[in-house]
Amino acid sequence: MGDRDNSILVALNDSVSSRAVVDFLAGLSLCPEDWHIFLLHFFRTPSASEELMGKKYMGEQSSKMTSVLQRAKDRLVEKGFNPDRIEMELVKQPYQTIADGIIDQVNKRNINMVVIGRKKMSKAEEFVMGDISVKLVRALERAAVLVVKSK
Amino acid sequence: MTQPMKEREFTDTSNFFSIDYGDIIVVDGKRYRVTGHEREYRFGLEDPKFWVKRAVDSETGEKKIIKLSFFESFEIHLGGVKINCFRNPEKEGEILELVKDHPHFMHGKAYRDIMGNNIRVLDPVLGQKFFIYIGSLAMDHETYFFNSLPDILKKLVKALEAIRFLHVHGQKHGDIRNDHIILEHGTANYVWIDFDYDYYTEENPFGLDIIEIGNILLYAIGKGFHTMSMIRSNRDLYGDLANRIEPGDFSILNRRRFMNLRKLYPYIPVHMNDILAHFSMGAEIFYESMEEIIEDLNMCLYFGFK
Repeated sequence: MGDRDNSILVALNDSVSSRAVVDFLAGLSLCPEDWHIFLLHFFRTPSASEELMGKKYMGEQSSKMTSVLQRAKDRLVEKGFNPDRIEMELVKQPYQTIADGIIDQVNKRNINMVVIGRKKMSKAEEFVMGDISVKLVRALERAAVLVVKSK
Repeated sequence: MTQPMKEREFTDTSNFFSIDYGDIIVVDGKRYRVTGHEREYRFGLEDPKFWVKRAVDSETGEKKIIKLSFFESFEIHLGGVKINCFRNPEKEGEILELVKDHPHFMHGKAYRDIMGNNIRVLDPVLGQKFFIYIGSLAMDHETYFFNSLPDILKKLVKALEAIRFLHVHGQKHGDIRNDHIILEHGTANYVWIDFDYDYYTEENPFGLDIIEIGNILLYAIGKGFHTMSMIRSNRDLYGDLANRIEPGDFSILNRRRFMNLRKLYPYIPVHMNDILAHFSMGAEIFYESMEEIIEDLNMCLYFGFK
């Protein structure tokens, strides 16, 4: 395992499955003060349609996601997590996929565990659009992957 | 005596509808005389593509295809999944540069007209479409499978390696179809054409390319597509197959297409049928990269068809 004990990367966005992740984490019977939590939001390389929406749209996304991370932090602190050991970051270096971003950050930050949400997907949707959780399980060799499923 | 009409020259191609037979497109200091429009043949219909001109280099007489900038975006639905697609002339220009020495892609170069529009001047790929070629082979499936398919698959592997080359360089074909592979006269290479479509599939950037490769393989191995209605309506050809089929035997994205060909042609080896199974409704795991498909196909070729 890495040098940093009990470090968890929590990948969040403004979705039902991300809210389920925070609820799940907050409800875990652990020693929350021991955990070092990284609440991260990743940006994909913008699609052509997003680029058309321009800088204003991207700026709005940033402030929206900052609020999402802050709400998640507040919820965890409320449940006993140490606020000094919760870091929030918008990872603005765009990655081709979110999975690429998580894998890169896990390796850079020596993370022990990744927590992500997963909405219900059809087989066809999983095939076409891809599934972050499957990619992480395949790619991460030194970190555990916790997938919180939601409808 | 009537005077010949004065040639119309176009240095601005923004309004491509107005550029017609006999007009001259001037790009990069060269003059191309328009001789017609390319057409798309789908589902028995023929649609002119007004942004794709057939042309002749006025100086050398060489035939060219000139693709002008046309932007459209649309949604396609595959297996209930909505995919955002759009035309991306810039992407095609970048790929042309990337594959300029590659034998399995059409060749050409992207230029700009005076308004900055992307214009691709392409060398036509002469030969037969893969779709037509397979359909033209007049033999029963078993004869085709053992005598023709081994060579076809060897060549298809090369074409798949070409798609892998694109993916490795961060590019996607975007419109993989069995009529976008040309069996090139002279070289017999399988050559990919038409890569100005683009799509956005979130966590699986090359997903649609990979899925469409499944259709190419299904068409090749099955010597055409076999659909639910064909199986139900033609008992002479399909026997009792209609009684043995299950939902998992069909394509995950086109639920009418029969994928589990070994049920129809029992001489298809399990490892070859398993490749197709990755694209079926019964699949639990899917291909994520061209590398995986190529590796499995090479195993089929290595172990043989018996």
